[in-house]
Amino acid sequence: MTIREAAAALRARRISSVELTKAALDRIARYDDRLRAFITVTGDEALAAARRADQELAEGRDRGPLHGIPIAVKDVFATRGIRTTCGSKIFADYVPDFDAAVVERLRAAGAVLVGKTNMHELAYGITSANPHYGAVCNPWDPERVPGGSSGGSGAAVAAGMVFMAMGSDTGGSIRIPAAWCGVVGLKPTFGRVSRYGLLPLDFTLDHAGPLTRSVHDAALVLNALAGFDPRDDTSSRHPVEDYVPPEDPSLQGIRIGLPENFYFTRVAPGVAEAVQKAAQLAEQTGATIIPVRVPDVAAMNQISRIILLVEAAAVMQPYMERWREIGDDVRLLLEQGLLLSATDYVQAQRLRRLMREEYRKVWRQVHCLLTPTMPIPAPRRGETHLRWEDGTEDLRPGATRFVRAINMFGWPALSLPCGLDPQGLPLGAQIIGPPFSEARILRVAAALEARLPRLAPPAL
Amino acid sequence: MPDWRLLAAARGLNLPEEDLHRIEPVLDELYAVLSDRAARIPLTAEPLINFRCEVEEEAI
Repeated sequence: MTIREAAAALRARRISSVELTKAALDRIARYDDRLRAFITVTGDEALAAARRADQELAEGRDRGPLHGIPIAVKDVFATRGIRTTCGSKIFADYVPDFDAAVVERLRAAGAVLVGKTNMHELAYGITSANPHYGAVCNPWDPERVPGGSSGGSGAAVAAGMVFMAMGSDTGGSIRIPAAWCGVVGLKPTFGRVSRYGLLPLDFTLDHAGPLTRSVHDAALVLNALAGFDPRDDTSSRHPVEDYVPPEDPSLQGIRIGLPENFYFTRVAPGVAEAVQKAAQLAEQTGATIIPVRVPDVAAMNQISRIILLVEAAAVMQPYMERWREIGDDVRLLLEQGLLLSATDYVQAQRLRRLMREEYRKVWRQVHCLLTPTMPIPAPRRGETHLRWEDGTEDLRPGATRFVRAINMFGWPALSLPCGLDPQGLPLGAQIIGPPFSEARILRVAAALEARLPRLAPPAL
Repeated sequence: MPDWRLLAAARGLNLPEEDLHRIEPVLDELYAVLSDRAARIPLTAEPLINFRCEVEEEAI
């Protein structure tokens, strides 16, 4: 069931928010020992919020499509009175006295928070193999990782525990678990959704966005989240739109760029075919597919990594005395950041501007780009390398090749399930657009979703 | 290429030997890309530190 379907059922009195919330909590109780998607479950508070939601609906006070819907947020968003660990032992006892902006907005929209999802420690990694709160398992195959860093959010949505879970994305952390768990993940434009109360990993690369079971649901959530927030210096005053796409939208007049270079090299069997099939479907729906050449995205990824290394080290430097409590993989990244110089950082930021100038030229040719989200389906836990005919790559930089660079430019992107690989694992197609083109991205995604075979939920 | 061990020592970071061993090749790889590109940055190119997205005026 999607948010839209549940919202209709609530208004038709076929179901109550309390029933939906109990079902969510039951499913979490039944499967979370296995999946470890949650760090904290807020059962009592959730049921109280669900009762209030039902009461309000009964009184005719309707807060909109998220009213009474059970949701979760990654444990990187501050929640008043509920511990917010950031997936780290260092923050194990941190109980904020305020809600993050996205939590405020979701509560105001009537959503029912059932818990905080597990994640890669400090949101700094892609496996969500958390050394303190358990390794999150992929609902499609528990031996595989769900992706990260918003792995618990991806797993929770894919496993039907919640209708939506919030994630954060610094170098792909919403889109990666979305692709590997077979759900929709939306990273909005930088500044579109407030970062207030999002525990930072990187001040200039972090984005907040939803993981959902459908494109329509992602749009509903963005409608609730988008807007200026004076508490976030990078928040935008750009006008907010209605992001919900029409039913079965036409793509007439939309020019979709299909990269000829970079995005289709070194990909696992089935990946290129699935995305090319999606491009064909877009064309059948009225879009024009334009082959495009993209600039040196590999170099952009490296520069993005340098910025992340330095900014994340700066974020965590005040806690340096406790770095031995951080998992090895994350601690090594923080240490790397300390060794880069101020000059290196400024040069990286200068290159960031030049690279944006280079890449943005693509928007003169096309409205959006269609690429694979990930070069591989979800890897087995413990895998450290990608192996190709012509060599190997470390998992983290290798797997994030297609998602990382655009965070430097703040561009919006969405990962849409686009089929299964030969092993039956979900694959994602990524739609990238220029700033504030979320409505168009969602329209393209909705058109493709309507034509692609819907993935059956994973057998748990 | 910078001597990362020397840098760590100079900054008094006291990083474990095992960590330094794993860090060095990663930083070497990143630094190679950075230094190559940085050598060609035009004099007037400014950093993108105060980052805020704006509408693409030239977008179709």
